[in-house]
Formats: sequence, structure tokens, C-alpha cells
Amino acid sequence: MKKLILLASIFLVTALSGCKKFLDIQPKFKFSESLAINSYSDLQKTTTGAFSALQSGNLYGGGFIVNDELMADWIKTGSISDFSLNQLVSRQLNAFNSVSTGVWNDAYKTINICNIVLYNLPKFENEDPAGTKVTKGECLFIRAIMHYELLRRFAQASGYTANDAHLGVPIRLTPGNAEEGQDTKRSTVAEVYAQIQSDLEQAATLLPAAANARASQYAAYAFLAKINFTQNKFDKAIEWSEKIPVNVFVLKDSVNSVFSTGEGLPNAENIFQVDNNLNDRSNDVLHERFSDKASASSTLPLYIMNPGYFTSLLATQYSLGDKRALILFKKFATNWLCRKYTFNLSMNTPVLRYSELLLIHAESLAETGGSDADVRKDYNQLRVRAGLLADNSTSGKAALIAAVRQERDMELAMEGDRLFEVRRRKAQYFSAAGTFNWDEPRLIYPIPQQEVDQNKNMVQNPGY
Amino acid sequence: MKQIYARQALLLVFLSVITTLTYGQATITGKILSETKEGLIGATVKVKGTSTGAAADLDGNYKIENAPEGKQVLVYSYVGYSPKEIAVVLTAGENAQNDVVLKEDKLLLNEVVVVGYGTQVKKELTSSIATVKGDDVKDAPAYNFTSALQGKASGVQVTTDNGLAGAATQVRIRGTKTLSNTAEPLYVIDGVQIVAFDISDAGSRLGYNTSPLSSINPADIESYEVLKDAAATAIYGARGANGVIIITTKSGKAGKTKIDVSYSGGVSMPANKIKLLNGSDYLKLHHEAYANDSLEIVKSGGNPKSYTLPGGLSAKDIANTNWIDQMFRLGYYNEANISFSGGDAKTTFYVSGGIRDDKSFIKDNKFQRINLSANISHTASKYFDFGVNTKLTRTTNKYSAAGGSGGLGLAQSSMLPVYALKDSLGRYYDGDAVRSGIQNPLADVELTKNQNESWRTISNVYANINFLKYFTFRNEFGIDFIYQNENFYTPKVLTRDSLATAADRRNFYLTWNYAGSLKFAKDFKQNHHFEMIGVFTATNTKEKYSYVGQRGFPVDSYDEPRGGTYIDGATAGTGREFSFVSVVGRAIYQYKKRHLFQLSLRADASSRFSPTKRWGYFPALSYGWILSDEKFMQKQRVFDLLKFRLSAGTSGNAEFTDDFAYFSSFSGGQNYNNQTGIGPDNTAVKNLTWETTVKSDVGLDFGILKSRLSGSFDFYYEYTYNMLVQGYPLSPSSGYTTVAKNLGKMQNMGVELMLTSNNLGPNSPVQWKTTVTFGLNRNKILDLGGVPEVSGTNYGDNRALVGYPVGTWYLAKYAGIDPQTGYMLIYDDKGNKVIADATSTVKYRQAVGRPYPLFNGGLNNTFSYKGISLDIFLTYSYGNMVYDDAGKRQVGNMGYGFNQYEETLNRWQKPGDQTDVQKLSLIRNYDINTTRDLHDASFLRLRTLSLSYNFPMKIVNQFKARSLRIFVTATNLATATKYKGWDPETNRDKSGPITQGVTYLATPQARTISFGVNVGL
Repeated sequence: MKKLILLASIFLVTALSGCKKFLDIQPKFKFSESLAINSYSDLQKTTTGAFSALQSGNLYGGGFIVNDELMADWIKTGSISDFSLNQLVSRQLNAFNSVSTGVWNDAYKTINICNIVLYNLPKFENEDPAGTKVTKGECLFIRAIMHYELLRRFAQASGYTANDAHLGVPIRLTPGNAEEGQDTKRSTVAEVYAQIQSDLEQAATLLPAAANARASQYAAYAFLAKINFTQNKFDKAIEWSEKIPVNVFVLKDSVNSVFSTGEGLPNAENIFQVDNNLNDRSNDVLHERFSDKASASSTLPLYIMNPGYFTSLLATQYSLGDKRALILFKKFATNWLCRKYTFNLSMNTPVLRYSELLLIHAESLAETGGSDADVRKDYNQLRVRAGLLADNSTSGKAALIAAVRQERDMELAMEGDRLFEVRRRKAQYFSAAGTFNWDEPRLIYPIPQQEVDQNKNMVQNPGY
Repeated sequence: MKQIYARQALLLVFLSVITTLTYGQATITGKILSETKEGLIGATVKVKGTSTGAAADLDGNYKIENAPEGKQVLVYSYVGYSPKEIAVVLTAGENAQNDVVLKEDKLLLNEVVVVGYGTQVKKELTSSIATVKGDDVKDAPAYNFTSALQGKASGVQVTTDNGLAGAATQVRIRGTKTLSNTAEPLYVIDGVQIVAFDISDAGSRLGYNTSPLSSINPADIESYEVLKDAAATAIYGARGANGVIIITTKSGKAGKTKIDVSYSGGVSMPANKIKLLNGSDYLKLHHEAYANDSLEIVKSGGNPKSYTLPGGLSAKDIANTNWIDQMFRLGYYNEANISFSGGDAKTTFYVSGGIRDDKSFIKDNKFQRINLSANISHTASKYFDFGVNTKLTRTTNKYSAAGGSGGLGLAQSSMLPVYALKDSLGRYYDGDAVRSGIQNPLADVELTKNQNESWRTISNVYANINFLKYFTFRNEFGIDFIYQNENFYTPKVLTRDSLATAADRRNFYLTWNYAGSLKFAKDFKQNHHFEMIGVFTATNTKEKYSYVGQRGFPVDSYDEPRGGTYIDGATAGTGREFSFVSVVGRAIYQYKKRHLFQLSLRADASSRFSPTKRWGYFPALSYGWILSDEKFMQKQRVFDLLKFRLSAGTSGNAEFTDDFAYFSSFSGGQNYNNQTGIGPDNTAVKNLTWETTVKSDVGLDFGILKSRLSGSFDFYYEYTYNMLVQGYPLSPSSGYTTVAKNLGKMQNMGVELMLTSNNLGPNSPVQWKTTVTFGLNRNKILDLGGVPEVSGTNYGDNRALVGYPVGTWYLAKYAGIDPQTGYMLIYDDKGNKVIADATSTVKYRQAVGRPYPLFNGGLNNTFSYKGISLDIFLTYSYGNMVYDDAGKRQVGNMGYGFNQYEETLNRWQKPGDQTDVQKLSLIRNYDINTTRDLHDASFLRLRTLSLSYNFPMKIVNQFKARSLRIFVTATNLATATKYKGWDPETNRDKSGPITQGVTYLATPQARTISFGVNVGL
């Protein structure tokens, strides 16, 4: 009998432990968080994951460019069979808009990845002190630029209130989870810029001074110049842009070079780019919307240049032989089409180009009383590369600023710059849907309804 | 242990010796026959009050030996037949008896009902189980058996999504009890818990869902048992809350080998067609919209643009095409089945084969099913029997795009009537000026290749060991194996980048079940019947998949992803996987077969929850009282049966699409520039566990005036707590958008009625039988854990809102068209009328209507005279609403670029106009959701009308046949409804517990007219 009991208990124990094993199914396509982060190398992979998150179709994967241009005033479209895009076209968004929701969700998701790395990094610092520095720099850099991208879409621009005391976006510096961090309030625009500034400055001390790194010290400097320029802090913009040594970045000879380079290859003109290759890309939306396939039929691509200031600029430059108008745009019947995104399916997406840095520098110089020749020297590089004659005559602050801005309009057209330039210049939009002031509330994205519902400290933007 | 057995065995032998010694030596012989004088093999006869008896052989002959002498009562019984008692006086030696004819039991009280892990006699059930016989639905030309169940069982709501061949159905048993992934019941076929959710990619690629249940041939099904209350479903524990449908396939009966051959075929067409604008009306309204806009621009001081024709057409290209008609054809189907069944006292078999070839009324949409099945059982001895049920099916389904994915959806939306079928060069015409890939529904149909080939086997093997007289030890092992291969091919003319795309997707779903059970059944002193069963079960479902997609092929004839220029995805591996381990116990005690008690308990562990939260316990208790068998009821003549039932208990739901939601996880594939990256995938809520539904049921079963009227009535109340919400929203600024969480409470209560009446009595030459099913369900969300709402999984207008039924629409309330301005108005939160736009329609949303019916059911009338039978079957649904998500784009919204419903002709034109269609415009954004497009979709439908003729035996015998029957059936002949869209019975892709009753560019249901013949040999 004792033997029987023993046998029975052995059977029971085996059966029960077998049961446990049978029920402890581990997925093959994902792994638990405790298994995921166990070494510095895991954090490196997670940082790669953060760069991968930048490729999102809502972010640098093309969404920024196509949707920002849709909200600005230089393009028009035919009918779009999409609830959310239609709202963009009519500038009548609601808090369920999938474009604004996508930007919000994906940018914060990316910020969270960075925060996970930054939070865990001290534990594994000893494994590779030098590598840890770079990883930390990369994550601070991404966290900063994501906050910046959020800020300029979900909040009124700098200068909307004195001291930028108006509402910005929530600042996220720690990893989130289901239980905590659900009620982060919106900081003011000034506070968000201060955080971005601090993250970028710290990143600049940690990142390598190598032009073709994923994120380099120069990229941090360039963004510092850009965010200060966005706030019209011209002295600072000059200061940061001049930290980048001459000749590290150059303008390539041909105007389409920067749009033709793909497969994750560096391009000397890109200070910061998002790498794509054939098997890992998400910028199809750029090729689709900016297609230049205008056949003999009436079939036109989705995005057509809106008749007005920009098309007349294009026409003028075209007649002057500006290669940007000749090569990067195409005239079909009465319509102008943009070809920038048609050269290479696996194009790396330019985020901050050297030409933009030159334009920031030039305009900041003009604003702060730099010499006429110095200002012209900056933008003449762009003119010469485009096959135009150098401008040796423009002088005077107002004229120079106008000249730089026209160069900027030509150089950065259809790269998502226009929407924010109008705000910085405190100008107006002349879109197919109507004329809007730079601070039109309808052009500021609504905070996604889910955030408003779940975050009890959230304040919705006016008009939504 | 051995000693104990030996002792019992000895005792047994001793007892039987005593029994033998006590009584005399009478032998009884005779025959047990059916009404058609066929021998009832396996029928039993017993000497009442003893264990002496015998079973009938192949010809119905029996022989009882060693029966006691003197006055005795012989009890004859057979499954499905009324038992008969005959008083006899037995003498020693041979006693020849007259032939006994057993009558088929019309009330089917002695019918055996399949319950979880066993069977029970219907009369002795204490739970609420609805049975639908395969025979009752055999003429319905449905390829998915669930659609044949519509209206046949009370409390069961079945909605067929649309009329596409292979389309999915939505099944609800006593309402929706969950907010999680699925509210569909558990399906158990011959003891195997099968995969019933859509595993195809049709939903995301082609805009409608398909169902793996289509692979089961309804012709092989003997019966459907719908388990509803706690007493019935608790035995399925954490998988039972949504109800269980047990399907039993046909088996052979001992006797002559029967061959059944059937053929049916028919034509199909859309049950309804919607009316859209024709070319000239469209042009007229398009120009009017332009003129309206211009006038406004001029008023505000602007310069209107010059008029351009829709789609940038030039005047000479204007055509008048009815695109919807272009998508339809006369559909047809052919189905043939053959089965062989029979056996002897020891072995029975049922072997069948079938083929169905279905070309639906949508061009290019096809479904084919070829299936084989074999059910064999063998009784080796009194102690041992075993058997195997196996089914093998191949289905092929040629998809046709629907809804927002093209095909008919495209034909009724952006293909304007002014577009020509083909352009002047004979190319597919793509009217929309801003696209570069051709968007033409005909091209969709004729050039794309999207198909599904699936192989499936559902098989199970069992062995029963009967020992110590009262015990049965059963081992059962079953598998459900699905191999599915989908191919998707789009030629280059249809893609934006002019590169053909091809994809190959393969899924393997392997489910296995094991159930080991030990059963004990014994009568103690006649009055006490006791039964106990203990079961151990384990089940595991695992998915393996692979996907390869490529773009750009050297030649157009390449339609598989080989040799393409670009890779669009190449993954393979393990996808879903989950396990359940359960221990089940059930005890039945019956006192005098009048008072029936049942207690069941299931302990369930699921791999979907953390080890500490894994086990759940689901008890149920029920009681039944057969009043009609009580002494005081013996004198009345009204009730043949009066049974009162009471049950209470719990069952659970653990359904997820994410099998690993209980832990926070990371996943790979987050690569960047050829570097390996990982990223957070899921953040978890601690203590995630199954949801529990407490169910209670009071029921009454009755039979009146010798089965002239019979039926059952149930009242139930169900309370669900710890509801599983897979997409519980987080603040996205935390880095995560959703999490799986238990929250909230919900209740369902309702009444069910099922009535069968033989209106003219059993002796009338004309038989008129009426069956009514009625189910009323009231659902209410009681609590959502402090969250104001949980929105539908995919299309967010349905909500779970506290105090409202699940799936309630949350929409701005339409307040008419302003007669002065022509703009649409809605009510704001104070009840004032304000202009409807994208912002106001979101701001002033309110709860406005339910997608699920208040009550639904069916009404069946069968008239038969001699061999002719006419069957009229109506189904009805009341109180359900449909939200036409395309309405906002097809009623007075010329700017959207869709063709418009004909009602747009009633648009607002001048101040003072009273209408529901706003002023036309090409530039205003009318793409807004309001209750204008929410419609009452109550309906009464002539679901099937069937006329059949059974040829008389005289004729049949001339052909040496057993039976010959022909029939004509029509389905969906007529529908009475206020709903003006395609069909009130509709669902768009990805419907779930919350998202229901939403339609977008729908596909109609099929109307079929078919003819069939059944031959029995």
C-alpha cells in the first residue's frame, strides 16, 4: 500500500509539473521584458529599435512630409477616399483624425523606447563605457527631436504668447507602463524647448563627431541651430550652426543626389537622415503621393502644386534654368508635379540637410546684422549648385531676408518645411481650402481623443 | 489494490449466482419492429424489476433466457422510440411472444441529447439545451451550417455577413457577454474543440471575413446541440461562457447497408439591389454642386474656378454605366453527396463523400468543397468498444473583393456612372483622375487572383472500457488540423508603381484534444439513480505560418512570389499557441426519475494567464422536476409532460487574439539599416485573468394533448464580471496605446420560447406542423471600471457605455436639414440645433441605438399530405439597427467622389425645401457621422420556402430503392424591412462583440432557387 501511495504521488507530481510545462507557453516571436534587457548589447538593440521607430509611416517614413504639405498651402489634391486625409484637405480635423493620432502615438512610442534605454543604461555601463556614451547620446537625440516634432504640430508656434507660456506637449523622461505615467500634463512651449535644448546639448557631448554616424554630434548641433531658429533666436542659431566644421558636409553637385541615395548609404549633404533599404522601408507613401506618372490620359498623381505663389516661383525659376525646377519638378499641361521622391524606391529620407543649415545661417546672419556678402555667400552656394548665377547685388536686411526666404522656398519645397515656416514668419497660408493666419487653430493638430479620455490632466487644443 | 478488486469481483459473481438461483427458467423469444416492419436492431427488452433482458439482432429477433416465471412485465425500448410495456404470464420453457411494434417518439422525450462529455435522455435534462436535427435543415442550400441554424433554435442569433461564397457568420447565444476578441460560441465536433475563428487574410485584403466552418459539410451532421445555461456550459469551463454548439456527425445503425445519394443544384442572385444615380442624374447633380459652390465663393468675394466634369473627363467620354450590374451574374451551385451506412450488432459504419461547387452571384467568386468522412464504431465485447470519426475536407475559395477593398464595393462607390466600361483604346477605364494604378472593379474581378485552398481534417478516436458493471473508462483523442494556403496576385496594371504583386500565405492550425473520463452509473433500489463522471482534458492549439510577398516580375504570367524584384515580406514561424488543462466532474442523482439533480464542477487552467492566475473554478447546480410523472398528475389528460428546471452556475471566457497578453514583452524585427533591433511590444496589467459569467435559468418543458402542442420556456439572467478587454486604452503619451485588462460588469437577461404544434392532430390526413422560436434578450453594461466607454475594435462608432447595451452607437443626433441654408443640423448637448461638421459631430455624440435585436426567432410551418410536404420558414429580428457607414458619402455628398444613392435626387435646392439630403457641394466636407445614416433594420424574412415529394413505396420499390424524394427550395424570396440598403442582415469585415451592424459598401445576401433529389438504396 505504501508503495502504491508513493507511486501515486510520483505520478501526480509528474502529471502536475507536466501540466505546468504544458501551460507555460513561450511565444516564438516575442519575449518577456525581463529576458529582453539583460546586457548593454540588448540596450544597443533597443536603441536600434528606436531608430527603426523613426521609420514609421507616421513619422520620418514619409508621413511628416506628405501630411505637413497637405496642411500647408502649396499643393492641391483631387478627392481622397480617406476620412482623415479629407479632414486635412478641408482643414477640419477632429480628435479621431488618424494622421494626428498616428503622429502622437508613434512619437511617444519612440520617446518611450529611448526612455527605457536611458533608464536601464546605468546598470550596464561597466560593460562598455565608451559604447554606453554613444547609446545614451543617440537616445537623448531621438527623444529631443521627437519632442520637437510633437511640439510643432500639437502646439502653437513659439511667439504665440509672451515667453512661450502657452501649452506645449507632455514631456516624457521615464519609461511608461500600464499603471504609471498615465496622467502627464502638458508643459508650456518654453519648458518643452528647454528640455529639447538640454537633451540635445547633452547628446552633443556624447555622440561621435563623425558625419556618417546614425546620429552624430553635428546632427545634434544642427538641430540645436534649427530649434533656436524656429524660436527666432538668431544669435543662438548662428552659434550652434557654426560649431559644425566647414567641409564636413557639402552640397552635392547634382540637385537630385540627395533624393537618389538609398540603401542606408550616407550622403555628404544629409546632416541627419533616416535610412531605408529595399527590405526595410516605409516611405512608399512619398512615392505614391508625389508620383510623376502623368501619362497621356487624364491620370494625374495625387499631389499637384496649388496654383499661386509657389507655382509662379517655379515658373520663374524654370525660365531661369534653375535645375531644381527643371529636375525636381515637372510641368504637365497646366500642372506642376514634384519628382523629389521618384528617383529611388529605397531612398533615405532626408530630415535635416546641409542646405537647410546654410539657409538657417544665412537668414540668422541677415537678422542679426551680418555682412551682406556673408549672407549671400551662404545662399549663393545653393544657387550655383542649381545652375543659377550667384547673387552679388542684394543688400539690406529686408531684401536679404526676402532673398534667403525665396531660396529656402525653392530649395526645401515639398519637404514639409512650408507649414512651419509660415508660422515662424507669422505669415499667411493661401490654400485651396481658404486663407489662414499663421496661428489658425484649425491648423494645430487636435490632441487625440484617447489621450484626452485617459489622461485626466490633458487639455485639448482650442476648437476641438 | 488488487485485493480490493478481487473481493468485489467475487461478490459480484456470488450475487449473480444467487440471482440465477432465485428465479425460474423461462425463455422468451420474439421480434421488435418499427412501424415500417423493419427489425430494430439493438432494441432492448427487459423483464421489469430485474436485470434480465436481451437485445434484438439484425432482424429484430431477441431471446431472453433465465427469466423468472409468473406474472411479469416486459419493457421494450429503443432510442428515439416510445418504450412499450407488455404484461405477460411466463411459464417455464419457451414463451413465444407476438411481434412488438415500437412507435417513433414524436416528442423525442427519450431522444438522447449530447451534452459535454456524455449523453443524457432529453426528458431527464436539467439544463437548457436546444437541439436542431440535421434533417430539419437539410434542404437549406447553405454551405456554412451556422446560417442554417438561423431561427431554428430559440436564443440563438445568427447573422450571415453577406452573400459572398465562403463569407463568415456571427453567432450569439443569449446575447453578447463579452467585450473581448470574440463573442462566438465554442464549437465541438464529435468531441473535438475546433478552430472556428477566421484564419484567412480576406478580412484585411478583400474587405470581408470568411469562416473555417465552411469546411464542414452540413450533409454529414446528425444533430446540433446548443448549450445555453450554466448547467450545460459550465462543463466547458473557461471556454463556455459564450455558449457551446456541439455537433454530432452521422453514424451507422445496425441493419442492412443503406446507400443515400443526393443531388441538389440551383441558381443564385442578389436578394436585393440598391438604386444609385444614373449617368445623366449624376452629371446634373455634379453641376448643381459646382454651381452652389461658385455662388458661395462669389458671395464671399472670391473667384470661382471654371467647371470641370467629374473625374476630369471630357464631354465626349461621358458614358452611362451601371457598375453594380457589371459585377453580378447568375450564380449557380451543384452539390452531390453519397453515404453508405449500416453495420451489425457489433460494428457500425457511416462513410460518406460529398462535393459542392458554388459560383456565387458575384463575378469571379467561387467556393468548392470536397469532403470524405468515415465514422466507425465497434463493440469488441461487453467490456470494450471503440471507434473513430474522421473527416477530410478540401475547400477552395476564389475571393472577390468587397467593401472598401474594391470589387462590388468599388462598383457602388468611386466608379461613377459617367465612366465608360473601357476607354477608347479598349483598356480598363479608371475614371478617377488622381490615381495612377487602375481602380476598376471589372479589372479587379478579371485580372486579380486571390484564392484560398484549405485542407482540413477533424478526427477523433475513442475507446470505452466497461468494467465492474457500473464503470466506464473512456479515452478520447481528437485533432483538428487545418492547412490553408492563400495566394494573392495583382497584375501591374492595377498597381500604383506598375509592379505586379504576388503573395503566398500559409497557415497550419493544429489543435489536439485529449479527454479521459471515468463514469459510474447505478440504480439503487429502483428509485435512486446515481451517475458520476470525472474527466481530465487537455487541449492545445498551435499555428505555424509563412508569408512571402514580392513585387515586380519579369513576365506578367508570374503570379507567385518567385523571381520578383522586391521582397515585400518574408516571415515564417510559430504564431498563435494556447493550451487548456481541465479537470471536470459531474454528478447526477435522480429520485424516482422525477426529481433530477445535477452538480458539475470544472477546474480550468489556461496558458493565456500567469501561473498565479491560471486556474479557474466553474461550478453549476441544477434541478429538474418532472411534475407530469407525479401521482397527482396521473389523472389529468392535458399534460403528457410537464417539467420544471432550475439552474445556476458559472462559466468563463478566455478568448484573446494575443495569447501572451499577461506579460510585458519585447519583439524583434525592429531593424534599422541592416542592424538588428528590438522594441517593446506589450505592456501588461498584473493579475490578468479570464472573465466569468454567472448564469441562472428557470425553465419549463411541456407537452400537451398527446404532443399536439409541446415546447419549452426559459427565463435567464446572466451576469458577467471581470470582463476581458483586449484593447483597453492607455494614455498614448505613456508610450503604449492599449493593454489587456479585466474590467467592468455586464448583464444579459431574456426569455426564450420554443413551441411545436401539430395543428390538425396526429390522425388528420393533412398534417400541419408549426414551430415557433422566440428569443428576447436585454443587454446592459453595468460598469466599465470607471472608464466612460470602450470603443469597437476597428470601426469606432459602436461603443460599450455604462447603462447601455453593448455595441450602442455613439453618434451625433441628426436634426434635419436646415430649410433655410440647406446644411445638415445636429442636436448639441443642450438640445439646440447646430451645424453638423467634423468637430461638432464628434463633440455632441450620444448613445443612440443598439445593433443587436431586442428579440428574434423563426416561424416554421410544414404542411404535408401523403408524400407532399410544403415548408414555409420565416425568420424575424426586431429592434436591431444598422449604421450605413457609406451613407455619409453616398447621400448628398457629391464632393466625396462616390456615386450617390438615388435619394440624393431629393436634395435641398432652395430655401424652404424640406428634405433629408443637404445642399450639394463639391468642396464642403460632409464626411461626418450622424444618425441620419442609422437605420431601423428590423426584418421579417421568408428565409426558405420548400416543396418536397416523397415518392410512394410502390413506385420506389420498382426501382429497388428504399426511398425517393425530390424537392424545390427557394431562400430569401422576400424580406419586409424599413431598411433601404442592400440587406438588413449585414456586417462589415472585422466585426466583433462591440462592432456589429455596421455596413460599408455592402454585398447583398443571396437568393437561391434550387432543386434536389434524395435517393435511398
